[in-house]
Amino acid sequence: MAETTIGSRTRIEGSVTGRDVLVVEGEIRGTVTMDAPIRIEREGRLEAEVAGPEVAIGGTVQGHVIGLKKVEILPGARMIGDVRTPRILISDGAVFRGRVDMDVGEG
Amino acid sequence: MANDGTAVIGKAITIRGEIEGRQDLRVEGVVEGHVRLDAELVIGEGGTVKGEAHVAVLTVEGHFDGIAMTDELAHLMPGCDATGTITSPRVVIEDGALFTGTLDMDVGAEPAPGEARHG
Repeated sequence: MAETTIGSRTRIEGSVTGRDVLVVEGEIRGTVTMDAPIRIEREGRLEAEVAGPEVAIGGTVQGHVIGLKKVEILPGARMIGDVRTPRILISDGAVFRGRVDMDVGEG
Repeated sequence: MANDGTAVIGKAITIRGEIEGRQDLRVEGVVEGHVRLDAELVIGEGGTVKGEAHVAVLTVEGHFDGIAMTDELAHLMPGCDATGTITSPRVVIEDGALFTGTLDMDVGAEPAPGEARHG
């Protein structure tokens, strides 16, 4: 699968949609809706509504995150907002402030 | 944490009320009420705690429903089912854990918006 990288000196205001893996090293304000995994690197900053099958957060996110399959909050991450997903992992060393909703009916 | 072993509330025991202590406590049964410990509270697989927990370390393998405040760490293990509010400087949620509610780990990291820091 191809990969799209928003570099560390890039800043986007608006919406990002797509079907490739998205790696964020820069800054996005707005909405991010992907049909492929989203990875926010340590330097990445999102002030956004984020939705994708899998979302891995290593940087700073302020907003709502929907992971249709999984959300991972990695060491060093800073997540402020709400997460909705059937599967969540929070690593030691991550900071999270907000709601988690895993009340997703299975089957 | 140095203390005299671990207290255990067995599978067939239900406690309603308040529990206070300075040693680790493992709940295999049911506790409804308030748990206050200067040590670790482990809610074992099949164990249930409903209410409030003020503890140094919280480990959930079973069911927790309520408000938890820890001094050090809250650890949600695979297969657990937790609901409510967890305030803790460190939170670890393992793959396969279920949690619905609010997490607040922003403890002393930096002032909340609009809040002045007094030194």
